[in-house]
Amino acid sequence: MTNIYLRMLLFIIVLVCVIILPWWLSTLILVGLTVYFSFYLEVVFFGFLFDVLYEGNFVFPYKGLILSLIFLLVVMTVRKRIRI
Amino acid sequence: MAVLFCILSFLLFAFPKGTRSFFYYVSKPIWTGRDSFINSIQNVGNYFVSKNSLAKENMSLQDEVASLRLKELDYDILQRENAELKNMAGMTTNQNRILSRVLSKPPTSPYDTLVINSGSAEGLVKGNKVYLSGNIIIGVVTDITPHTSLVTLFSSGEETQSSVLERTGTSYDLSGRGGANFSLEAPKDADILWGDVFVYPGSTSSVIGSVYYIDSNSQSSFKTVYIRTPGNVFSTKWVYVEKTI
Repeated sequence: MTNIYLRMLLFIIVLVCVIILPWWLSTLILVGLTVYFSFYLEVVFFGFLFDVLYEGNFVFPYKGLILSLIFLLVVMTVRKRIRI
Repeated sequence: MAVLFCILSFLLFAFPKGTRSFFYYVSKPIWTGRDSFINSIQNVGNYFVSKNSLAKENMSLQDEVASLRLKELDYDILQRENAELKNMAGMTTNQNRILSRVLSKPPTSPYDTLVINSGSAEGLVKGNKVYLSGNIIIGVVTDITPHTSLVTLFSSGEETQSSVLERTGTSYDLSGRGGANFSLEAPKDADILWGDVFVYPGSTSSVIGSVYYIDSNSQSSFKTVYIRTPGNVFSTKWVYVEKTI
């Protein structure tokens, strides 16, 4: 299976996970995938999805979106420093 | 990455309702599918239960039903009497409640919110009160789409809910701590006891929670009171929404 198909399949699986699993389990899965893949941009979308589905009021800063972006940036920076 | 972030932020800022409606439309079949799947596998265990234990369970349930019927009679009489007294005192209650199915609840939601299966098409508006049962109030509707609504629980981490201590009539602000729990910082000599009930202001029959622990440190002049919503918010499948008339 090529990388793009794997990512698409994972996207659908994680989408279902975010919708039905407890938030802490979905978060663990997202953390794992962000660390595993070199540039897991989808995590930003799933942070956005947490906000859209479950946040009471859309007021900036959007917590899920911002936190996922910060986490992705941190993981990318660390990966760069340790040259994985 | 920056482009994606800007697009998503713009969607939330410019089209919050449309974005939410779209994602609820996508998620609704998954939520209902999960519920029916869980219901079907919950019944599998019933095939492996012995006749003897079923008969015993049946007997005890019949006893329970009989005693509950008696209690229901008492409850109906008291409720009618309560309504009559309220009418005599000029406190008419224009309540119109609808039963709504819970699609998503904590711990799926990290923000202590529920998604319910009724929306503006069913006559709900923002601010409608949501009840777990006849008298237990748990939150308010904070966002509406045509067929779904988002309910923010009073126990949500960012919420502060005014309440009245039923026994003394004193008003307090309860801070949400998540998971149907509240806390309250009160002076050490405040008259609050274990088991005390806090009710929604202006409605003595709407219970917010009851005290289950009081932490009073001898060195502090305050005590922390922990309050919990009676009933299990996380296992409920249905809630009542009070429509305003």
